[in-house]
Amino acid sequence: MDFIVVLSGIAEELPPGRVFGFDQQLIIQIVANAINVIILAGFLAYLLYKPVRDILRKRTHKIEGQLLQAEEEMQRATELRQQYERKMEEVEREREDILGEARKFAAESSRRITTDAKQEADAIRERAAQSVKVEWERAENDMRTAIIDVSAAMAEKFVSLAINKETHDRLFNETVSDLEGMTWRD
Amino acid sequence: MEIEIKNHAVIKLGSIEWWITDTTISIWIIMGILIAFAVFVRIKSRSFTEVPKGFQNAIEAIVELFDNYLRDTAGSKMMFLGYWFFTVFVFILISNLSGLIPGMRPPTADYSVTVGLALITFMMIQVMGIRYRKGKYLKSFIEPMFLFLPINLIGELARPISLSFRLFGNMLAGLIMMSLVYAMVPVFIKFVVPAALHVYFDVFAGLLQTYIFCTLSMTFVSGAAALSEE
Repeated sequence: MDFIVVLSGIAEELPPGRVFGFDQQLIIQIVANAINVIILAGFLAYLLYKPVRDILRKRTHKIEGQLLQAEEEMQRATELRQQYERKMEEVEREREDILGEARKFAAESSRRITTDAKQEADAIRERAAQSVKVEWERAENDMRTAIIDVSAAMAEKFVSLAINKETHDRLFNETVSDLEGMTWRD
Repeated sequence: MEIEIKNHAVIKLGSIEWWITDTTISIWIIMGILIAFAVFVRIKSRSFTEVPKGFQNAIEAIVELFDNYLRDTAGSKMMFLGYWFFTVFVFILISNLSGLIPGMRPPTADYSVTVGLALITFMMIQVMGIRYRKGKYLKSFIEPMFLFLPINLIGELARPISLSFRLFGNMLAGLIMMSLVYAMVPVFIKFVVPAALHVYFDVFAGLLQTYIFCTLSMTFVSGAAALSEE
């Protein structure tokens, strides 16, 4: 299985195996092995390590960007919410002001209407009282007139039956003089 | 299981001989598997979606886990070294676990592999130190006074040696232990006892040594750049 590659000169036989040795061959082996590992490093770096690292780096940058964007959007949303809350507070304050004004106006209107109604009621009551008084006086006069008429009629009938002409004249005269006396006194 | 590293071919370039060993072949196999997997991921990555699931999720989790590990250990300024450390981590891990495959010798049980990786770390330490601290880094070798230069140099040189021998020693020890166990146990329990020991020597020790090697490398490099002081 063993073979000898001759590039320059001829090696007669394979050297014996060994575990360890400080000689020229060790230096050659060190150089050869180091070159092998350096070549391997080049391949692994170019084919495996660098592409995967680039993917990870890109993803990291992307996630960082997204996080930053999310943070900015969060900040914007917070500002919007604060604005909204401020506006809501203003609206609330405005509502309270309007309600206060409306309450004040309503109270004022109520008071004015009540006062007007009271005044009107007073006026109506006064008018009614006056009307009642006038009606009362009129009824009193009517009643007095009716009593007088009835009394006169009764008196007339009674007189026509009971008294004669002289008595009638005397009574008439006495009554007239009484009436005159009353009229003068009043 | 063979303890020694066998040679399968020799490539001669003038007076220089390059032995094609078990380690070389294992490395090529691991490279092939990892590159094929990377190509597969690259093809699949074209259809990756915004919300990951299944295979994409697993791949992203692995890369993200490693990124976090690198950031925690070396700091965010060292993230540009992720390409290298990711390869080192995956390569050492797969190399350590390759001991589970019959007939495969873990490349990390070969000193030339571990010292190669440690020397690259050593060079990175020096480059990062000079790049980020310039004169202050060179001045640190003669601190607290000039007499400490040899001690500081030895301390600096000890780093790649300790890094490489730690990984190499652990993996070679595991390989030797497993070879002895395979040689000693009777045939009828050859599939029971070694399996449990493989879990310890290849999986547990393999994972642990991978983690230690990478963590120390990252710490040394970021330490040289003195990023922790900033």
